[in-house]
Amino acid sequence: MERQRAPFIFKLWPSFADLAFLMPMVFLFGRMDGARTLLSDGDTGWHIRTGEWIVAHRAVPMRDIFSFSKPGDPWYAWEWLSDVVFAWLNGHGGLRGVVLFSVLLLALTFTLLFRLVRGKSNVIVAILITVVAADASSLHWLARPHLFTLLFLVLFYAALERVREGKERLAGIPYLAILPVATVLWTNLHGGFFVGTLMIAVYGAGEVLQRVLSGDRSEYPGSWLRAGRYFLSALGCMAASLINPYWYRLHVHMAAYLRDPFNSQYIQEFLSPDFHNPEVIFFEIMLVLAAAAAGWNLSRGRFTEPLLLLMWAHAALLAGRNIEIFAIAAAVPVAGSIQEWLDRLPEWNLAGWLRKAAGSFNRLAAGASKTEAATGGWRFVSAMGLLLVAALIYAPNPPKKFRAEFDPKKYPAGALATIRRDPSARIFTNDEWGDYLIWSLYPVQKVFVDGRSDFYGARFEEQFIDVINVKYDWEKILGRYRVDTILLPINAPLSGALKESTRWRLVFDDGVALVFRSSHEGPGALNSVAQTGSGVSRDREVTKPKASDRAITEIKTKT
Amino acid sequence: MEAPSSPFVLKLLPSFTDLAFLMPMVLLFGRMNGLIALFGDCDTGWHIRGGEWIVANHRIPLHDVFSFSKRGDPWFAWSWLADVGYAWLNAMGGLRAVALFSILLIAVIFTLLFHLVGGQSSPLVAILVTVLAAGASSIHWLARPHLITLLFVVLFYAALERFADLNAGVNPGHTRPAGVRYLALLPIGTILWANIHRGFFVGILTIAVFGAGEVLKIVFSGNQNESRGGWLRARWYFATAAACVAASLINPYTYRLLRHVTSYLGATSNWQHVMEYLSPNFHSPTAVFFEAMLVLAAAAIYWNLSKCRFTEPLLLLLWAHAALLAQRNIAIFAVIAAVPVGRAMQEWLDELPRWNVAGWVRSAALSFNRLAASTGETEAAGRWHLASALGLLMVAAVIWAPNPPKAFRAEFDPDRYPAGALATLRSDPSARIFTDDEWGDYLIWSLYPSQKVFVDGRDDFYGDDFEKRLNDVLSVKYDWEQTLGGYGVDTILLPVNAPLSGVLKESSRWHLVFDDGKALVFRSAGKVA
Repeated sequence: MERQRAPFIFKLWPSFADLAFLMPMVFLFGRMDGARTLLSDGDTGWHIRTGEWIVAHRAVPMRDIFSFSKPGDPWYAWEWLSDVVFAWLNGHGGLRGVVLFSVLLLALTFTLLFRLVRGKSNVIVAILITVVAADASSLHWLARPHLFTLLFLVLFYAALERVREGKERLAGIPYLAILPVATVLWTNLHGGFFVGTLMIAVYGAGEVLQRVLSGDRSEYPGSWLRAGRYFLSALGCMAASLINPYWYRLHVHMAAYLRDPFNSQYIQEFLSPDFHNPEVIFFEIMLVLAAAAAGWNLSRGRFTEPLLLLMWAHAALLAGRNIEIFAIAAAVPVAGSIQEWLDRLPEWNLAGWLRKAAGSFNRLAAGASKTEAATGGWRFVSAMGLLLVAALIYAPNPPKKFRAEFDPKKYPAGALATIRRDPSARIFTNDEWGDYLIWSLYPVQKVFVDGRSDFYGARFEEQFIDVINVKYDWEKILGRYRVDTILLPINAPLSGALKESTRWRLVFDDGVALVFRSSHEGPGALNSVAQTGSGVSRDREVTKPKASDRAITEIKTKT
Repeated sequence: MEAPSSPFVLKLLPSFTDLAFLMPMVLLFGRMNGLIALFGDCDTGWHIRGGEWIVANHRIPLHDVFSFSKRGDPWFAWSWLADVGYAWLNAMGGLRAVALFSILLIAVIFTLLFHLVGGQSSPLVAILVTVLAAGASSIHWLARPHLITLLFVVLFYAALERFADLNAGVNPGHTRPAGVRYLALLPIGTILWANIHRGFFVGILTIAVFGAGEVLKIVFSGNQNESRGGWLRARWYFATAAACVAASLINPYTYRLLRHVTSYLGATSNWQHVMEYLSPNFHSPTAVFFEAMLVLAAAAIYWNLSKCRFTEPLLLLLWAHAALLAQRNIAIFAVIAAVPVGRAMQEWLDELPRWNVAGWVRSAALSFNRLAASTGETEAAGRWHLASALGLLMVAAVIWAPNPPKAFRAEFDPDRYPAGALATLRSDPSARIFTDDEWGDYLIWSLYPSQKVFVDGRDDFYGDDFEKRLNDVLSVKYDWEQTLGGYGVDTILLPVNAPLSGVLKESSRWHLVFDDGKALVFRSAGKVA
């Protein structure tokens, strides 16, 4: 059907696609904390610095460049291409450029998702489901390379749906052949590339199940052939993913990292979701809708959708970071099912008022779809919205939510001057603040630990957590790494111990961060007492003479 | 239909009922840590001491009897009847008797659940679903009064199902629905339940959901002929729920208990700090049973909705949401989900041979149905449940053996609780000891009445503010010492790896007086001097 030629004014009018484009911005700057939400994880900082290193050295790092605790150890900078992009953006527009790009990436992802969902349902259902998916995924909206994975997921999904509908080629090239090429890009942008390979394999498995479990096999001619094509494409993607600076070693490293139980115990985004969090309600809504969609599709003898929903729902229940993938993967079958229910509802044996309501809704949706086809051709409202956000971000004194900075109340911005005074200091701080130090002080300062948990590994991270929680051998661990400066949030348990200790003195306190320096001269000499302890759960000799006791710093008013 | 008289040998053979009875024991001692798991929470300790206080004083405490930090403050001993029961068991046979009673309770719960599910499905389906429900609920198998809530949930559900079955397809017009006596039992059961455990509201909610299911059916169903009977049933359900609310007022604290339970369950500190109020961790090995039950429940919801049945979907949605919010609700969800899941599975199996699916799937379903029918016949034969009795006896014998294996030792795990520090603590009865809530429970169990505690597991008694201060001290917030000073604390008992331990070792104001590699005792410098 040829698209109707719309009058000029209609082309300027906002459409549902504009709404899908602007909705992430409305969520981000309306309900959430705006740019500070995007920059609420210091990882962005080390990604940028890595990109700068790559650009400066014209090489992808094979060994660590940021830490003094594991200097030169093998490191997989698996998101090196994203890092270069972020570094370029930072070079040209500072963190403002990074924030604006992330906003654009999110807007693009959900606009494309809306268009994909729109292919399965009317516009009203499509926009509602896109909003639920966006809201569920907003838990993990951070200016980090995983945003590329969300975009690639939608693109792969769109390609797979086109193939299933029988539209197998783009500009004469089979979609299933394009996907491995795209995988090369995806692999070098973000470690989530396996999501795409899994998606293709599920489409293949869906075909197989349909063939094996269906009553009338003649209804599904060529299902083995289709399954074979999907599996071949998935294999092609796996092979394509080897095209990265670390070759197969990246896959070995990632498999070991993702299987490591340490992640599910300590790393926030690898924990199961907290259903008390008000944001998680959208995930729960999507779960309920997905359950209904899975049942509906199974009852129709379709297996791809239930497989996709089960797999990603399980992944999302395992780790909060997978909620966004589930939300996007679920949006399409959920909307398709809702549309089928709406179409059939007037014929079902239900109360008259319900059938009438469905009929009215279907008429309204048909009208909205016609209007949608005629409006917004120029995406004027989307462009204006993005421009407004950009203008506010780049304004001289932007409102708080539009300030592209790491929140100075969350990160130790005030302590930087003190730390800069001693470039030779070996600073211990937590991983999040380690990221911030890389962002703020690299290459002058190196860090004890940062957000690259895959690089440091479970053994090292456990030692780090022991120090943070003042486990009996904390000082011995710090001594081993010749730490002479400690930077901590005011309420960290270790801060309390350091305030009591004569071997450490407080040199900075601004109510956000504390900096302690070793009282001893020279690195490595500070931990002699602890090092002479038995090391078996206790060191009785650490009690200091009363005369040297210092009153505990009173910072109540500042907090 | 009367059960056919079965031969003597058959009467001795184990049945699926025996399997349902013994399965919790197999799970507990096979997959879990046995009695160490059952006593994995020391709340049992203060429940027993609370019961002893009631027996000794011939009254129910209205004010705190255990703490020095909130001495004499109003306390709702809402499990007082269970506490008395536990105290009696402890007096008769020590913690061994408490453990055996808890095992028996769990076994009875899942035997009853098996029978309830078996009423809707074949014994094969029923046992599979019961095993799944038991596996999912095992995350919260502790020797505490909440086990009795699980028993009441099964009993209430059985009564409601019986009432629903008797009235299914009947349109009684203005007459009384059949089986009202089953509903009449529920308010009486609520009186008992409200004095045993605060989970009594689960019963009231379940009854209300049965009523809401009837209303939804009337509102959404195309068959208006059923509406009159539906309204009548809904009215009876809601009237029963209201009667249960009224019955729950019959407790030592009357309406104040309901107000207290409501405010406690709404308190934000619970889901931030109390483990059993946190969302479930799906990495945990037991979560696989819960997840399987969630998937089956989702399928059962879809199936029931497609049949225009709303009670089951409402129940499943309500308790699945509750279980995702707080892992302590997984046990309730698993028990409640078992019945609709079992029924839905049976209906799938019955209809599968007629569905447009592959021939081998239809044949497999038919074979399974034949097998299920024959096992159903065997199961119907009368049994003496010798296997159950012998299994329970064997467990009891090992528990009471002079040197039982670790999993059968009825004690609070000495590797987890500060058993070694007790002698040091006993040497100073006037000490005001700070420790965490779990070890506070242990101190009540071990030292009450000679010692009182700073805090214990009664988080509803201590309240949000106090619990926040406790956490601040444990995580060494800047004013930790001021907080302790405010309560006159002069002794601190901590695990070796507690953050506060590291700080106290550094402080000259505290002296380490005990250290066995598990627990540390610090005394204030003034006290030592």
